[in-house]
Amino acid sequence: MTGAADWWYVGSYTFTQDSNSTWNDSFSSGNSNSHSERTESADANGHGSYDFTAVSVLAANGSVTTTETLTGGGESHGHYHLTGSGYADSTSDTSDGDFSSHTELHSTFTQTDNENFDSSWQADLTIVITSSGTVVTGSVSGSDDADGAATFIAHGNGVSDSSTSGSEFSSGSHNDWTSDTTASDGYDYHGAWSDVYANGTLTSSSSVTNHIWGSLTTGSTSNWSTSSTTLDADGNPVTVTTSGGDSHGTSMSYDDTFSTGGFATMEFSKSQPGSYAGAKPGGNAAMSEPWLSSDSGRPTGDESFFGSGRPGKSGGSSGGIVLCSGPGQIVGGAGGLVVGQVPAGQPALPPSQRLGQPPLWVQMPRCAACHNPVIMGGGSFDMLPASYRLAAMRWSMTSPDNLNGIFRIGGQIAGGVLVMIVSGAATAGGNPAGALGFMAGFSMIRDALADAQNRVRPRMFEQFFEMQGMAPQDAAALREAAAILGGMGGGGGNAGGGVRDFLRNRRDYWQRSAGAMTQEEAAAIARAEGFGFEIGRRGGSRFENARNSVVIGRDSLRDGLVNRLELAEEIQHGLDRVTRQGSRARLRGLTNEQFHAEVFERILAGNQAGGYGFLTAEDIAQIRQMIVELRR
Amino acid sequence: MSNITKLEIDCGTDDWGESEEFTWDLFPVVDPTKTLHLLEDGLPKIGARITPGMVLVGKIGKSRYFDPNHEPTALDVHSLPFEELKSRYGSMWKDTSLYADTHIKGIVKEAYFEVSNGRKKAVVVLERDEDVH
Repeated sequence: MTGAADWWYVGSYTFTQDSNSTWNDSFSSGNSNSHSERTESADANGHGSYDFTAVSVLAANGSVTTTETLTGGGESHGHYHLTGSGYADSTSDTSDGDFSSHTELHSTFTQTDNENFDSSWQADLTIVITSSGTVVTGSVSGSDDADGAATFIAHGNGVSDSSTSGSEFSSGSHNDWTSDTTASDGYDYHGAWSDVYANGTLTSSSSVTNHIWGSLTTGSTSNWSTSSTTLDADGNPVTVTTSGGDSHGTSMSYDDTFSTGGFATMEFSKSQPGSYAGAKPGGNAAMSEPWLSSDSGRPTGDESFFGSGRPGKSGGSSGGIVLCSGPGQIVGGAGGLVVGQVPAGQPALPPSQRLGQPPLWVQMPRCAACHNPVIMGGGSFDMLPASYRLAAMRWSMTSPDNLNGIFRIGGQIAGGVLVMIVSGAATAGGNPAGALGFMAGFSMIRDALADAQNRVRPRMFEQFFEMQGMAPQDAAALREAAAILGGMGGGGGNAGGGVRDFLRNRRDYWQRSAGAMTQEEAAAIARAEGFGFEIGRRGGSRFENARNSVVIGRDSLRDGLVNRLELAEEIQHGLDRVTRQGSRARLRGLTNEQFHAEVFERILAGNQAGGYGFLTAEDIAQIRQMIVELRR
Repeated sequence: MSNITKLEIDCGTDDWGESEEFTWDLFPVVDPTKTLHLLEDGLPKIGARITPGMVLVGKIGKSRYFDPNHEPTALDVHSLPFEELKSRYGSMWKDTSLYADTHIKGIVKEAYFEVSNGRKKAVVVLERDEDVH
């Protein structure tokens, strides 16, 4: 018997959609409308054919063997296309007495999508049917290819205005914005598959490669302005206008290729009743029970995970599966391991290492060299809980700082202490400290205050404070006098504008010393101290704890070079972290200028001890001059 | 399997009309511990492992509240905790960095600047790493 067949198909469709809508909002004056249109079209065609022959042979013993051959193949193709576009529009007007606003919104979009696909297949099979079964040989295979691309472009823009007016004022604002989005996606798909029949087995294989790529770009801009007019005391209009704008854009793209392939083999076989697909560990006989059994009390070696046998009826619980039951499986676990139990033969933990609250004084990590407290990760004493602060101060080596800090915890900052002392000194009535102050003379108090603010001798004032036991009302009543004294004593401890500018504008370093080095040289010096070296953004240098680096502001460079004085200051800031000089200075009530005077003094001390070898005699002289100016 | 994501961010202008700055140094707006993987110019280090929420490209500009006479002093920097510094001074700058959103993670393969239409922009190429969570 022979035969043949052919088939084919051809088809297409087109779909167009238009929409338009307009409505009015009765709640407030406004209207909007939108319009969009889409056109889809697709076409596909394919064809295929096959031929077959079948021959049956009757043997002498009566058996019949039928052999069929089948050959065929086909292919199909198609396309899909989409175009769309539209816009939305909206306006809104509102007015209510002195207020009116107008808002508009516009947006548009376009989109396109193109896709193509092709596929094919072919078969070449021989089927032999006998009384004992059917055997198929040959193969069937096919492939698919598809690709497509889509784009989407959207643009939106809007504007809003509002104005408010009253009898003595008026204001208006204007905002406009735009946004743009462009996206594209593409894909390229290739897949192939085949089934091969041979000797009663079927082998299937397939492979796929799919390449996808695309991008998305967005951008937005916004501009605003606000204007308001009021009348001043003379009735003249004063108008203030502010405006600004911002723009932002982002884009991303992707490009991925996925590949996968493999094979699966299926064997034609019949299962034999009663057999298991497994064997007893270490043996060759089929198991008569599952490997993990809850059967009780048979130390056969089959049931436990670790093969040493589960406990017998007298040695453990029955009916459960036991992990790590035998000696030698866990060190010290002769009879199994209990969470939280000290292993046999091991000493118990000392009390300080057990869970619970350790003694107060062992909580604070301290520097191995100076024994001062170290606050891990940076920060100040203020960040610590009160008990920690007390612990830190107790261990601190400088007792005046301790007392200052303790007063601070008690609600009295160092500056307040000074004010109260001076206030008490000015009381001159029954208060020993006040009498002492006036006996010492007005000028001495003034000088002492100035000196305290410039140099801070907290221990001296703390001794005054401890001696005199001043009543709070005395301090409150005479605070004004202290303020007067403070003003005479040099402006409340603040240095002049020139020095402040010097500290804020590091470029002034170049006016004090032209000594410079390359960034590589500066990095090597910082590295020798165990620090990194980095260039920060404009405006300001510092020592950065998180990066453990000296950071020189970009504006501080001159022709790419680093000023030696500035490098020395930032290195000293880094060295000062160990003893928490910044936090101490704040606790002591130092100003920024006083703090830096001490920083430079520590640089001089370090230089005398053999450090800061890169500083020249001219640099040292400049540092001394800066200290004088900062102390002034 | 390769999986490449390319991200770009333009250098804009700040509230003062000045060009924004690509930098690792976002202090005191962003905790410095969050920018340890950035280079001096704000680009991420090659090989850095990026997870959602991380800064991809550091960028900052002055806000309308910037006051050159009110910048943090060295005493502030060395004695105040970061959150206090941010509270006092952070409003003077705007962090305009590019951050990795919830879908962006991987290993930094390339990071560079390019100029397009007269504008500088940073480009970062990430390769997806299944071990990045």
